Amino acid sequence: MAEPVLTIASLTKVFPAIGPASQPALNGVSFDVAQGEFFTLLGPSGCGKTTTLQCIAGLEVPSAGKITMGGQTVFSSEHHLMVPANKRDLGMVFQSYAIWPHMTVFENVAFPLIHGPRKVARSEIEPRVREALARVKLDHLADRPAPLLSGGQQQRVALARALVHTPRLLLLDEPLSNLDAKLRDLMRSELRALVKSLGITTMFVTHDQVEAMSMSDRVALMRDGRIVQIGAPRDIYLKPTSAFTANFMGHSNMVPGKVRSTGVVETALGVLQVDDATQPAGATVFVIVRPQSAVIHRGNADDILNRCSARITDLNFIGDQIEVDAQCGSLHLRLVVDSYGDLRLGEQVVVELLRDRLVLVPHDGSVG
Amino acid sequence: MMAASVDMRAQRGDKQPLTLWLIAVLVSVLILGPVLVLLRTSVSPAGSMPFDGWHVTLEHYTSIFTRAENLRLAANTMLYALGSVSIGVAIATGIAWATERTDMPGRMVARVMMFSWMAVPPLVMGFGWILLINPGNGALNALAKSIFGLNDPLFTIYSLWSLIAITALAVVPTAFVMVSGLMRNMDPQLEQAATVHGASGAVIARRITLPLVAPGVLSVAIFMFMAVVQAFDLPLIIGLTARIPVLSTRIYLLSSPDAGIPNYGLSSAFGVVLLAVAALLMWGYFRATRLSERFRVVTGRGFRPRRIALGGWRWPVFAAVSFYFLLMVLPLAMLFWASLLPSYRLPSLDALGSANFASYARVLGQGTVQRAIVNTILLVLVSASIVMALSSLIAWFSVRGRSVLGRFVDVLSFAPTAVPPIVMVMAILLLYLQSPLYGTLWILILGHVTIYIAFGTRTMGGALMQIHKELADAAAISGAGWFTSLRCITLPLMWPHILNGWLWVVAHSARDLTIPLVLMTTGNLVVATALWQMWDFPDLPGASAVAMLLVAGLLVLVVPLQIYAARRGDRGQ
Repeated sequence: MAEPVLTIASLTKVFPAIGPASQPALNGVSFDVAQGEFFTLLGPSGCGKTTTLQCIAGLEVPSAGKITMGGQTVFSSEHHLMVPANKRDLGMVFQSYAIWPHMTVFENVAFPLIHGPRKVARSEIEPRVREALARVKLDHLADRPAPLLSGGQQQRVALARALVHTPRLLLLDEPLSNLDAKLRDLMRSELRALVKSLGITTMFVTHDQVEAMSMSDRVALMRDGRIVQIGAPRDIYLKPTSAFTANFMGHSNMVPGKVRSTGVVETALGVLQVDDATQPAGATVFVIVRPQSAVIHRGNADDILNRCSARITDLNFIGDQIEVDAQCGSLHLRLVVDSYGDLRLGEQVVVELLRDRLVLVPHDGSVG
Repeated sequence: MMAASVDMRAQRGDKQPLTLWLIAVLVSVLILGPVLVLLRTSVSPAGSMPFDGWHVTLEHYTSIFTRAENLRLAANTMLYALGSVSIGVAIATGIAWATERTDMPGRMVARVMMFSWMAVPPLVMGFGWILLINPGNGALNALAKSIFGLNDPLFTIYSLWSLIAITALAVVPTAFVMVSGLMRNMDPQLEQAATVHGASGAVIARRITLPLVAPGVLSVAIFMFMAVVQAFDLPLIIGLTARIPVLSTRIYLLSSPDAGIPNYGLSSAFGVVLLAVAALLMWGYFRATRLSERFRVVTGRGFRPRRIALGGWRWPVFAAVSFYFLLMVLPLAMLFWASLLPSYRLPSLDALGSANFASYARVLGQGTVQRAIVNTILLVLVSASIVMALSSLIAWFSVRGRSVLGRFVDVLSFAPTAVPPIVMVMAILLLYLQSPLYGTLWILILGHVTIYIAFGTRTMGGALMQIHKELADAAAISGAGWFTSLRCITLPLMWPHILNGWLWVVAHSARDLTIPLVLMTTGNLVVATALWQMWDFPDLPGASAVAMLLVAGLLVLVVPLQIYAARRGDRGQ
């Protein structure tokens, strides 16, 4: 990896206590972001992802830790150093978009060029604003007063404003959450394509795992002020290292069990063979069964590994697939089959759990 | 790039802490200074001046709580405030419902009139009512005599009940402004749900609308109660002649007696008692508003309230609302009549023949009136500008900044709400009596800045909270410093609120009698005090002319803005 453009080291933030106990909002958060990377902070509300972003932006002062941007330390508790937000050379799209209602679209976008740290010659402002607006396909609305824009247009103006001065880092605070579903799908791919074409390093904050997975190069999953797991979307989804990750990233069936020896786990479904060798013998674990990691067989299937007989208790046709609820002994599994399956309610089947798709995570008591 | 970083202890921005410290010191001197002097004087022996010696005595408090006449004083004050607030808030709620939730004709005019009413000083209202229903030659009494052939006057202005009724009418506009806001912000879906489930218009008003606004109306009532307990003008001009003293007029009489020397000690002790009562009411107000928060029906979504069709009731409701406005305009019409005649005569066609504007020419030619007008213009412009500048900064520091000092200044600037103006002005008098400020216009400005700063910071704080924090954050991220952000983003967005607040302070500062009367000398006469003196003299046509000029001046300032605001509001923001 090249020299990271952003380094966060042991970031901690404690808000002044309101209740009796004050739990830190951030508790030793550390990560690096590489030049040009699309990096996402993902997590449920209250996990500290927005606080992290605000600390990077300089809108919030961390209690401890260090933030470095392109070799410049912008925050260090050790050296009592804090570069204010307006000197950090950033661009940001806010959750509310924060389009200034008393200005036109053009004036909004021109603001960073006129008042920013790297002021631009007067003659250069007009072409650069036009260029930024063209990039988000809004060049025809330059003179429109900001309040007369739709939600999607406001979001584009916010994006143009955040990019017009080519900041060293683009911060996106749940920018898609206020759009309707269709526009959100469209903007997801457009947004990623835009920042990738400009090569701008992007920090993205969201609580939506679909957004995180579809847009990011890497995702950091957060919980209770800590980072739980960092990795490429595929790794986080397919190789969760905790019950929380498995549950947060789409649906998971959690089968409790105990590792007998490497690759062999005792569960209520019987003894399962798994390829995952991360957990030591004797450990209590959850076997993570993704809905897609099982196959449903009809009729006799004695020669199959990791099988259990089950009864179909519910079928839910949702168009692109069918959700199947199967009762395997005392356990309840949620599986999916493609839309053309013809399973019937109450039918007896055999469920095969695919050993290469099963993942073991520690049974830490919390299911998330 | 390292040069751009700053020490963390100074990170809250360039000149911020210094500015905030300056404001903190200024506000402390303005507000804490007088209150401390008041407390000190209340435990000084009778006959001594403030700052004389160190002797401490509780004799004034003992006398307040042991003398039987003070029990009557408390009962009067209580009955006066409770009576006028109940009637006033009930009328205001009814009219607010009619203008905000129904299709009553002329509702926009009604709204503009209500909002413009702050241009009419209670003092002027009181004078008008004295002309209308005084037992000797009140116009309405004379009318009743000629119609019903009565021998005794039908009404008398000089009774507790008249005082209550007139104060109730004066309470209505302010209460209306507050209650109509509640009604306007109510989610119409709550009423629509009742319609869908089969309720009629009357049932909805009784079972849905009223219970939903009840907690809000209660807090408005407590707020108005607080205001009436502190009220001074009407109890002064009506209550004193009727020999019905209330707490506020008692304080005034003790510090400015018609004969004898002022008893500053006892007056201060009464002031401290009134302050305690007001503080208690304030606490009650906060409790009640917390309750109404829990009932909050403001959803913040953009919607246009659905109006209830009154049907056959449209015109009766319109007539009832019009009757209230008739009652409001009547005293003004009476004063206008009185200003047209060289000496007072009852309204008649016969007398109309001798009507002219000579009184206006006469008063405008008087040197004292000219000076009073110049003084008033200076007073209102300077006070309003200082108040709005200070409160914008205070609100900005307390809403946006998170420092303890900012919050301290915010709380401190709200404190004058609990300090009745008559008490505050007493305290200011005591503090500055021996300073060169006393007797100048500047002490009046100081007084008005002190008592209106609470209104200013509340208004600006509320306005600032409506402006999303991210708007300023976006400016910071774009590279603007705190001052650029304040200048380019926050101030332009707050501008309408600042103008509105400024106008409010101008109107209230121009109509206030409390501060100028207590601090009155020959050098700092303003229109309100000139008016009072002419009335007292008595120069009835002259006083009426000055009153009309004052009202006209304020209306010219207030009405256009209110029409503009009402139009904008009717278009659905």
